[in-house]
Amino acid sequence: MSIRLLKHAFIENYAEPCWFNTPSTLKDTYDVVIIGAGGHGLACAHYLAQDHGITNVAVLDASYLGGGNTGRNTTIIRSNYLTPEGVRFYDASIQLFKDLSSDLETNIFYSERGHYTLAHSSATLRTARWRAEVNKHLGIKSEVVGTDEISRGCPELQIDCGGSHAIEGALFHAPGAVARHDAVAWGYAKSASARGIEIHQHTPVIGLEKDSEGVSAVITSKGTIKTRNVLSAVAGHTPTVTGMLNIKSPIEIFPLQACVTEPIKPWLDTIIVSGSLHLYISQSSRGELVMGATLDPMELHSRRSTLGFVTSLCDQILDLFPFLSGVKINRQWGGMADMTPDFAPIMGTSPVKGFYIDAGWGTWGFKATPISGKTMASTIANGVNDPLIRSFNLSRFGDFDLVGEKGAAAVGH
Amino acid sequence: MNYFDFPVIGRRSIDEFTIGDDTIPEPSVLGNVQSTGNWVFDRESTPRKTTEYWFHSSSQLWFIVERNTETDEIFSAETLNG
Repeated sequence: MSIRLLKHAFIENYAEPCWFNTPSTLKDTYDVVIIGAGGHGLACAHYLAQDHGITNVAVLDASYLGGGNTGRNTTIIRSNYLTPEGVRFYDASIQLFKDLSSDLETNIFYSERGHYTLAHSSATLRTARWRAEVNKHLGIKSEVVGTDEISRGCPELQIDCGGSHAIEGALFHAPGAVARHDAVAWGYAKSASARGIEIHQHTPVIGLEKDSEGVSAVITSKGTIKTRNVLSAVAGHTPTVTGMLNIKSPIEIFPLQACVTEPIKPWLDTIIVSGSLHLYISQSSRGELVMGATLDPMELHSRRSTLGFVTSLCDQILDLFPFLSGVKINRQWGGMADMTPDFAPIMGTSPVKGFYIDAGWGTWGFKATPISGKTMASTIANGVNDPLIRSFNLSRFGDFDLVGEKGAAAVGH
Repeated sequence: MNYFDFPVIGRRSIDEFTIGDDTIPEPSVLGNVQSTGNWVFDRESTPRKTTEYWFHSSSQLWFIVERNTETDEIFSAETLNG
């Protein structure tokens, strides 16, 4: 333990500035109430203040800040999607991410690594080609590469993949990056807080009220708040919150698990994804290998972890990197992924006036944190959907106007 | 690992099954495009007790399984069509 840390334990008035405020009581009324103090909710709070001058805002969380899917993902940032709507949206997010450390005056450890989506069959290679062409058309750096180039980018990778499903090529996406997820949430919290926005942790929402003019109140464990604007940014709890206003959605909650190994010497400086083997792997700045897999196969409202997940993931990882067989798994955890039928998010206005939804982030939400915050802030400030998120509205399901992003999911689901 | 005693096939790990959707009955009248879309896509994915279609590929049998979606506890399993 550092002397500095030890010293603080004995100082009554802790000298370090707080990252964000923690007011003890709620006000009777706010201009905007954001449910969910994860990356998305806090980013929205930040942009409401920075872009629109709206600071009479409360961000509520049932638990602690950034403790949901914000702190449970594998932090991969990319924009190599399949639909033009998706590519434009995620590219705008990458542009915000690049300047985020200086904008928030918080080091988010943004690290551009390059991102390989491996193809083990000609069918996967065909989708890779399709994605590369859509990406290039929209000015995004993506290309299909052969096994020689993959070996140059990641010499440790076993191209024959244990013999049964050899790698045939890959979609290479140079802007692929990783960042420190907690720093993103804390950075947005710090910035929003500095502008006067209140963050209330351990304040679960137990009800929502509406009247003839739309949403009217948020009932919390610490009292009722009158407000005309509510944003739900609660990922795996979305159906519960929208259910408070009888709003139906196609969101289904599935468990998504991930794990990290013990820290080892840096050797993997890129991000490797295999849809066919259901895995993604990168190395964190601390040396841990951060690894994830596909969703668990059934709906579940729980963050439990399973041994089956680790054993099947490691089995696949060893096909790609046999030399990792002696490396130990250090930690594993689970999150509740809010899946949509078309693998695109549900964003913007809802059937209840003043009630906005930022959900359906399934397994792809972290990379969208800045842009979802910015577009939801503009949607709330103006009362109409931001042009960038128009095709992500909840109404698309009733209209059979889906976005069709499934082919660009990191792994097959 | 989660095991359950199924009719016909006996005690099985739930990993052996492909889990389908809730057993939502088809409405007698689907109505307009909007209400059809809502029936096709909308779900009630909250912590609850629900019944689902489960498929066991090695025996090619379908089951209707009653399950708690928060604790993963299985209450009952019946073969489809009795």
